[in-house]
Amino acid sequence: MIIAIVLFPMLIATLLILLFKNETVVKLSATLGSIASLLLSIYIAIFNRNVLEQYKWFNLISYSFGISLATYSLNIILLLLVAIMTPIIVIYSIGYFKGKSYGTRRFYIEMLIFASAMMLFAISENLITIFIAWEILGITSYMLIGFWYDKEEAQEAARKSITTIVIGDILFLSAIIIIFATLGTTEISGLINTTNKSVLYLPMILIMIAAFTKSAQFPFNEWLADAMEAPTPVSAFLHSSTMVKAGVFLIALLLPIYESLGLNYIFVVIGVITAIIAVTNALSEHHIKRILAYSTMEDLALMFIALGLFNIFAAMLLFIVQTFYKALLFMNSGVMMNANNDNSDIYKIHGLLDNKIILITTIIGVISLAGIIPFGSFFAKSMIGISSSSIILYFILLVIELLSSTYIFRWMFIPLKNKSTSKVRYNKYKNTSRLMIAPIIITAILALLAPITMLFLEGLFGTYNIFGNMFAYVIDSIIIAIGILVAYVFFMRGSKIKISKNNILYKAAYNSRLINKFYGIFGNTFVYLSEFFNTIDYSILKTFQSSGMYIYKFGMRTKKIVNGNVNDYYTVALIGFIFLIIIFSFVVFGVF
Amino acid sequence: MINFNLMYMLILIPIVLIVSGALAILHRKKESAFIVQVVLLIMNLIFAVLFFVTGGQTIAFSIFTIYSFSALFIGLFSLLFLLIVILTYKHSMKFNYISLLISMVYFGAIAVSTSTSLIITIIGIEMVSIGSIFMVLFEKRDSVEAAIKLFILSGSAIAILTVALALIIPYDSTFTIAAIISSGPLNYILLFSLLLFGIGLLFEVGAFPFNLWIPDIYEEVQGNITAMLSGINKKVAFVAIIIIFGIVFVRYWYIFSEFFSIIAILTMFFGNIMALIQTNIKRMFAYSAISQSGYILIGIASASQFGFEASIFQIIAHSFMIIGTFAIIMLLEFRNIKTLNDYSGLMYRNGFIGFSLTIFILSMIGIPGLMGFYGKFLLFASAINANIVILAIIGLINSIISVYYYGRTIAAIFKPSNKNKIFIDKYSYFVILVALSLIIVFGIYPTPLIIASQLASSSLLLL
Repeated sequence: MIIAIVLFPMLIATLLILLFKNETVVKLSATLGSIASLLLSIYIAIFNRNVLEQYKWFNLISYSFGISLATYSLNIILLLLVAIMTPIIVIYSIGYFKGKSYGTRRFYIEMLIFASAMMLFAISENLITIFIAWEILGITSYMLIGFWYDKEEAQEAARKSITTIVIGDILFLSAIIIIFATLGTTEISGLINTTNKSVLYLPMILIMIAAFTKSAQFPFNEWLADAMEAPTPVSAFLHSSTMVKAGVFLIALLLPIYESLGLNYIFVVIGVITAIIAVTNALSEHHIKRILAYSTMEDLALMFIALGLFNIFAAMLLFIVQTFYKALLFMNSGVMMNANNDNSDIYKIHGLLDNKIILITTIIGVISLAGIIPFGSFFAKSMIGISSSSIILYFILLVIELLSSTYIFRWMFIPLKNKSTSKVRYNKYKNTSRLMIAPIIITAILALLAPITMLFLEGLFGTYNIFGNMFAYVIDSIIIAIGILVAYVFFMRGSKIKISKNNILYKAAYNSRLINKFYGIFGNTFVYLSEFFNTIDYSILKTFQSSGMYIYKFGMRTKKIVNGNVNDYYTVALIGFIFLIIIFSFVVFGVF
Repeated sequence: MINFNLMYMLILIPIVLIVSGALAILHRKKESAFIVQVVLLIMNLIFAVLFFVTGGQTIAFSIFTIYSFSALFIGLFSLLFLLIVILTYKHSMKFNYISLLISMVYFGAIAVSTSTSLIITIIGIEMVSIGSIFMVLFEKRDSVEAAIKLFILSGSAIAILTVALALIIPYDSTFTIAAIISSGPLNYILLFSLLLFGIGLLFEVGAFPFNLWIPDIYEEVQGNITAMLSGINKKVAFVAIIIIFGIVFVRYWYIFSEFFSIIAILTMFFGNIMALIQTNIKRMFAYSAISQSGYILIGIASASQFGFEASIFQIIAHSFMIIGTFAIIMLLEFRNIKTLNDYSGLMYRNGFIGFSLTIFILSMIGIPGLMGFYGKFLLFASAINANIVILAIIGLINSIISVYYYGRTIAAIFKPSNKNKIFIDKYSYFVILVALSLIIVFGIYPTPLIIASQLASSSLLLL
C-alpha cells in the first residue's frame, strides 16, 4: 500500500478533529495533515512513478472485487495538484473563518474528507475505486455547498448540485455494472486493451454523461454557478483542483477507448456549446464569484474540446494552469468580499487599490486567465485552436478567447474603478489576515510558474512543437489584446457601462435563462412522471400495507402462545417434536 | 511421557481459568480475578490465532482435536468471553462467583469446538447450560423464573441428547463422530439418533418450536448475561450442529437438508413476525436473534462446504452484533429506558450509543459495507448454490419483514429530543467500541474472515 499512504495523513487529521473539540487542535491537525500528505505526494511523485498496485478487496463466490492504484503521469499530475492546493486552501480558510465562528470544525472535517477523496480519485486505476471516490466527492461537495445551511439559497444550491450529480452517479454505476457483466474487469488498462470494443459503446456514453455532470458541461452546467453559495475557500478548492476536474480527468484516463470508438466529436460539440453559454453568462453577470464560476465552466469546456481533438497535451496543460489562477482569483474575491461586508456585486465592490498585494495578485490571476503571452492559459488555448481541423471551430475558439479576455478584465476593471473613500474599508483591506495573504502570494507565484510545466509535459504526452506556431501565437495575442481593449473602453475609461436590463442580448445571456427554463420543463416532466409512478407505488404500498397488517395480526395471534406459561411452551415444543419425527420418517422412507 | 505441544495450551488455559475462578470465590477482591481472567483469555486468543495461522491438526489429551475449525472458534469464543468478562466486571455485584461460572461456560464452549467425540460434545453443552443457569440465578435477585425456564430448556435438550447418545452405543462404543459414517448401509437407528441430536441442539439454538421461552428469559435477565446467552450459548450449539452434521452430511445430506430447511423457514418467520409486534426493545432483539438463528440454519440446510462457510461467517458476525446491542440495551435498562418510546432521541442523548446501535441494526438488516451483509449474502448464495432457491427467497422475504421493526427502531433513535444526556462508563464503552470497530472493519475488508471461514469449513470436512 505504498501509494495509498498519501491518504492517511488527512484521514488521521480528520479523526483527530472528530475526537478533539479544541479550536487550535482542529486548525493545527488540518494544516499539518494536509502538509504531510503534500510531502508524501511529492515523495511518491519522485520515487514511485509508473507503479501499478493491485489488491484483492473481497471475493464473493465467483465475483472478485479489486482495488488498484497507479502512479502514471496523469495520476501524478492530479495527485500533485490536489496535494499542493489542499494546504493552501486549508491555511486560507483559517484566515477566512476568523470571526465567522460557527461550524469550523465541521468545515475542516468535510474539507479533509473531500480532499482525500479527490486524492483517492487521482491515484485509482480501477472503476470501482474511482466510483467510491466519485461518490464521496459528490456527498461531501453537497455538504460543503450547503455549508451555511440556514441560508435559503445555500440549501437550494446544494439541492441543485446533488440532483445533477446523482444523475451522473447513477449513469456511472450502470456503466460499471454493464462493463463488469460483459468484460468481467473494471481495470482501466483492461478496458483499454480489450479486443471486444463494441460492448463498451453504451457504457462509455454513460460515463461521458456522468463526466459532464461532474464537470458542469451543457446541459448540466447550472449547478456550478449556483454552488457559489459555498464559503469562498470551498469555491476556490472546488473550482481549481477538485470535483469539477474529476470529469475531465476520467475522460482523459479513458481517452484511448473514446478514440477507438470514435465518440470524440461529442466532446467538441458539447464543449463549444458550454463555452459559448459560459462566456455570454460571464459577460452579463454581476456576482463576483459567479463570473469566475462561468469562467471555470469555459475552461472545462476548453479541456473537453482539447480531449475531443485528442490534444491531451493542451488539455493537461490547461488542467494544470487553470488550477492555480482560478484558485488565486477565488481567494482574492474572498478578500474583496470580506472587506465589502460580504457584498458580492462587482458594481458595489470598492477599494481594490487599498491593498497592493491583493491588487498585484489579482492582476496576475487576470492576465493568466485571459492568456496574455506568455502567461497562464495562453499556450494551452492557442494550441487547442491550432489542433482543430476545421476553420469554423478555430474561429469559434478565437471568439471565445476574445470574449473571455473581455469578461475577466471587466471583472477586474469595475471594482478597480470604484474608488473607495471609506476609512473602515481601508482598514479592513489593510488588516486582512496574514493567513489569507500568504496563501494568495504562494498561489500567485505558482500561477506565474505554472506554464513552465509544459516543458515537462512535452516528454510525457508526445512531442509538440511549442515554438513552431508563431503565426498562431501572434493572431491569438492580437485577439486577446482586442478583448482587453474592449473591456478597457467599456468599463474602465469613461463611465462604467451597465447594460440595460431590457436589452435582448442581456436577457438571453443573463443567468442562463434558457437553460434554467429547460431545467424547469425537464423537472416538470419528471414531476408528472413521478406523480404517475406515485399512484402505482401507492397501490403497491396498499397491498404491502394490508399484507403487513395481516402479518401483524398473525403475530398478535401467535403472541397468545407466548404467554409466559411454561406448560404451554412445552406443549408446543412437544407437538413440534412429534411432527418433526413424523416428517423425518416420511423423508427417510421416501414418502416425499 | 506426554509429548508436550505448545498448542495444548489452548486446552490447558481454560482449565487454569476454572481453577483461578474457584480460587476467586475464596478471595474477596474482584480486581485480581478480573485481571487473571483477562490475561488468560488474551493468551488463549493469541494461541488460537497462532495455531490457525500455522494450521495442521493436533490431538490433545486424546480427546480434544485441534484443527483450523476449532482454532477459529477457540479464538472467537476467547474474544467474546473477554467482552463478556469486561461487561460483567463492571456491572455485576458478585463478580467472583460469576467468574467461576464464566470459566466453566468457557471450558464448555472450548470442549464443544474441539471435540470429535459425541460424549465430549454433550458434556461441553451441559457445562455451558449449567454455568449459564447459575449465572442467570446469581446476577439478579428476582430472576428465579428465568433460571427455571432456562433449566427446563436445557434439561430437555440434554435429555434428548443423552437418548440420542444411548442409541449409538451398540454400533460404536467410542462415540467418535467419524465412526458413524463407516457403519454399514442406511441404518435407521443411527438416523433416528441423529435426528434426536438435531432436535436436542435445536433446543439450545432456539429454533422454532423449541424457543418459546427464550424471549422470556432474555427479557428478565441482566443485559450482560443476555449478551452471553445469545452471543455465546447459541453459537456453541451451532458449532455442535456444524461439527456433528458437517461430518455426517456427506452421506445423509438429502435427509437433513430438508429437515433443517423446514426448521429454518419456521424459525425465521416466527422470529421476525413476533419481533414485529414488540414494543419492548430487549424482547424485540430476543426475537430478532431467533430470526438470525434461522438465517444461520439456511447455511446448514445447504449442506455443502460453501453453506458451512456461510454459516460460520454469519455466526461470527452475529455474535459481535448481538453482544454490542445487548451491552447498549443493558446500559439503557439501568436508566429505565426500555420501550420504543423511551428510545426516541437516543442519538441526541448519547451520540456514541445512538450511532453504534444504528450500525449494529444496519448490520443485522444486511446493509452493504457492514459485516452482516456478507453473512446474509453468503447464506442466500449458498442456498441458491445448493438448489434450494425457495430458502433464499424466504430468507429475502424475512429480511424485508425485519426492516420494518429495525427501521422503526432507527427512526426512534434519530427523533429529535432534548431529554437529558446519558453518560456511559469506560468498560461498556470499550466493549461497544470493539464490537463496532470489528463490524465496520470486516464490513469494509471482509476477505480475512471469508478466507478464515473457508479454511475452517474445509478443515471440518477433511476431518
